[in-house]
Amino acid sequence: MTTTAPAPQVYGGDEVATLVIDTGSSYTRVGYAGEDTPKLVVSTECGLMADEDVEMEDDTSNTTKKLNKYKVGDSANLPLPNMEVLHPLTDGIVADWDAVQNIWEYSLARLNADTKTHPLMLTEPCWNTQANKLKALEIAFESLEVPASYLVKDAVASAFAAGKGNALVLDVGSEVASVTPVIDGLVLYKPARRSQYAGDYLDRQIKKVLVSRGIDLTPRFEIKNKKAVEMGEPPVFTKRELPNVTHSFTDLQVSRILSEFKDSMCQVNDVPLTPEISGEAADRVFEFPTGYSTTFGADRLSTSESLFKPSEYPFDGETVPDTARGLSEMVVDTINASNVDVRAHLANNIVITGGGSLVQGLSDRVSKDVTQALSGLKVRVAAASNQEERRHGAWIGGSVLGSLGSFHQLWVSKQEWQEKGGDYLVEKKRFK
Amino acid sequence: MASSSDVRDVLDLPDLEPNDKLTQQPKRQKLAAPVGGKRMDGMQRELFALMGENTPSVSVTKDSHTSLFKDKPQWQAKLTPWMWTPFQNQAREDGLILSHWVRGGELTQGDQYPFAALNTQISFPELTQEDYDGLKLATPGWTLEETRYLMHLCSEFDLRWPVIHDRWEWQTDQDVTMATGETKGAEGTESKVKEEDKDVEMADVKEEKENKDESNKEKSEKKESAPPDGTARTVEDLKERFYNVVSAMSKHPEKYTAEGYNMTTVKFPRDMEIKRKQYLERLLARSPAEIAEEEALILKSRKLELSATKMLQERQELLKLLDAPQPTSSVAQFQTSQGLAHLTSTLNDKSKKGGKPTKEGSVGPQAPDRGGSVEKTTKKEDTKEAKKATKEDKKAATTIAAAISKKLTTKEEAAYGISYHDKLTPGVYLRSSKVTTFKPTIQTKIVAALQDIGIPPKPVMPTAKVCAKFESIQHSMSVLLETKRAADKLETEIRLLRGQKGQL
Repeated sequence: MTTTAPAPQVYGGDEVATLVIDTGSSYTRVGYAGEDTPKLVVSTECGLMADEDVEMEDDTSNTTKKLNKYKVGDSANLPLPNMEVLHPLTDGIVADWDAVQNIWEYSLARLNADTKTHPLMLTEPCWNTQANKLKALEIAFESLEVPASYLVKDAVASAFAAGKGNALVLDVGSEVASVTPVIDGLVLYKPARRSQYAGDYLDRQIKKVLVSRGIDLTPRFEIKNKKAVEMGEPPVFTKRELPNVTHSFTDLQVSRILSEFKDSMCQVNDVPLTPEISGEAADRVFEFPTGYSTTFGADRLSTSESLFKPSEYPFDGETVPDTARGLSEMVVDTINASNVDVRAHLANNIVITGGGSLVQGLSDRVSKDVTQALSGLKVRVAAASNQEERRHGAWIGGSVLGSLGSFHQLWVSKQEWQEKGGDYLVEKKRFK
Repeated sequence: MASSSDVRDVLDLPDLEPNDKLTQQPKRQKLAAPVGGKRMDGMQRELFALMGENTPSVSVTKDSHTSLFKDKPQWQAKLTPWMWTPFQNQAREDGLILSHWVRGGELTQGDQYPFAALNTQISFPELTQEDYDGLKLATPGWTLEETRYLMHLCSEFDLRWPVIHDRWEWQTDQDVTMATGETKGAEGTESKVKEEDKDVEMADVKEEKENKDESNKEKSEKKESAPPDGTARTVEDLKERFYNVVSAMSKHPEKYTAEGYNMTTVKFPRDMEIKRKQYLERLLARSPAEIAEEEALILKSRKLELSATKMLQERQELLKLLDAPQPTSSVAQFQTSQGLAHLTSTLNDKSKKGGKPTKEGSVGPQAPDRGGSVEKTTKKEDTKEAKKATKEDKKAATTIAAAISKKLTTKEEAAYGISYHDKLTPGVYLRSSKVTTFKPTIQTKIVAALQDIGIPPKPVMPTAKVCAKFESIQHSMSVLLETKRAADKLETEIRLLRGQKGQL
């Protein structure tokens, strides 16, 4: 009688029904380890009902009040009166733990998962603070009551998702773009770089261009009805009257338009942009929620070029610091800052991941720039062609790790948590 | 009747091996008859002979392994269940119980978790102050605590040096000092480190003053070797320290044993390592143009190498040809007049190449005589003898030369029909056959032209003079014909152009 299935042993897998949560700046992915995509992807931006607290207290008990205070998931997209939209993460790390805990609890409830029986794998950026690690473990063990938990570096997870133990991970998220060397599944902290020139920054660049062209960015939820108009004609639409919709909610909805523009229009030129090249850009039509549609040519290239040369695309009234680095420059910086013995490995295994990297032509540009800057090294870029794999790279890596038989010795168990205490676990650098 | 072995023979297939799976089946059939009953005879035997060892085209067998078809699903059989079973990982110390799917039932207690075997770790013996003193590990720039921190990192990151160097935070890290249980606290050790480092720096400064002549580069290297603070240690610093400690420990294998690491005496070649890294860095810093140039040069050198070896090979072959003695197996070939003529001509050739034929020729025959006398006489006599011999040689040579030069005038030579040749082809030939010929097309034209002026295509009396004259005529005729052809061509061209001009 065999004790374990023969097939999983071949690839070293051993499922223990791990739950994997990857909390990103704009999306949180939740699912079971061993699967290829997260079961649930919810927006990390959640709504907070500010004024309703008082009303709710009157007719319901305290617990329901607390549950309803946060609007997570689809309800965060509803134009509810007085609902402030929160961004629980700043600089890629959790700043508002209440909101994040709510998101986790909401999504685990959606999965019908009994957390007491599932180990919980969480991802963290490599610049995460000790206090944050402690808080994450505290929520996992104290309120979710998981039997075991682990914090995996998202760069390591992304490298694993690409099937690499040694890699240079370029993760272009929404808030942060980071470059992290991974050696044998261990992050190198000192050469790692990160910048704010990522997805949200690109959104702002797009907004700057659209506003300068005088385009009405009324979000979809505010439009009651509209009429079809010819391209270039002024839009004909009527606004819906919604009471007390907060600015933060409107901003979130506007950013959805910008994201759509980013996904469908933006393109990174394969060589650094010059006025001649941008003049030759092919025009594409974009229709805004108001019904207004127009063509974009050079703007498609110039907006995305800002990711590579942030110093050349400053916002009004803002100065770009001298330390500002484009994506390719960061990659080159990191490689040059690494030990000379590992540079070849890193350059040969550049993994590009994150939703922000889905801008058309971004990985080709990085590849070209780095090849040019590091001519002595053989540069090879690995970027998943599948959109889902690119967006959820860190989650998929966590899914791979959580279903590995040899990983199960690394879990921090509840017993360890109770006996040794969180401070010990975090300070002992249990999470390498 | 062709048996299968014949067929195999024709098709060049190897003989069937006795343990070949294919052959097992028919063999069993074949064996079944004789073993089971008596010897076959009559019709049965004939039938069997027809069948021979031939395997049937479709093997009909109940053995599922050799069958071409899938087994029927066994609907009636009991299914093996997969159970959600709790298990314990022996690689863990806390006895965490997780669950996984197991085929066929419960995992019994005490069963080894298959992945626990993969848990390999390196651990080094904890260094105490006693060990530190006993092994004489005290070196400037390093303290016991820092060394312990290093060994701790080495075991934690399994000697992955890039990672160890990345995580090296001695000044700020207090874990290890806390773990040592010393009440001194981290600050005390830190200040100690700093003091020691200062000392080292001071020492360095002194040294630098002493060696003022040394280049700046060396100075900077020295500074590198003694970093000003703990965090700025290079990978080489850490490696050197680690291998020093391990080497010291390895001398007492009974006292210190490392788990998962074979402690041996290793001398870390620090300078070589630094140099290697510098080379590597320079290699990586090449510009695309430099790389292209280098590649082109490499290609060129490869080509040169290839041609050099080829040339060497050809040269060797040539030398072999030259060195090899002529196959002069018998003297018979020189017994005919033709053979002799060939011999003389080749000898003449050689002597001409030599430059001084008379001298060599005269020395040749005397050599054996002299050799004989040399053996008997002393050295002095030998030299005298030699001088004498050379004098005689010179005398003979001059007389011969005089005789030759005196011999005949050109007129006499012509009269006697004597001529000298640079090279003579062996054997007898007709002089007329040696008259040069041109390309067939030109030759026919020349012959036609010669006939026009009444000269036969071959000289009637081919004396040397006639042949020479004939050749010169032939040559001038060819030149003439060539000129005529060119003139004709030009003329037609001129006419054509004139015609065109007239048309215009």
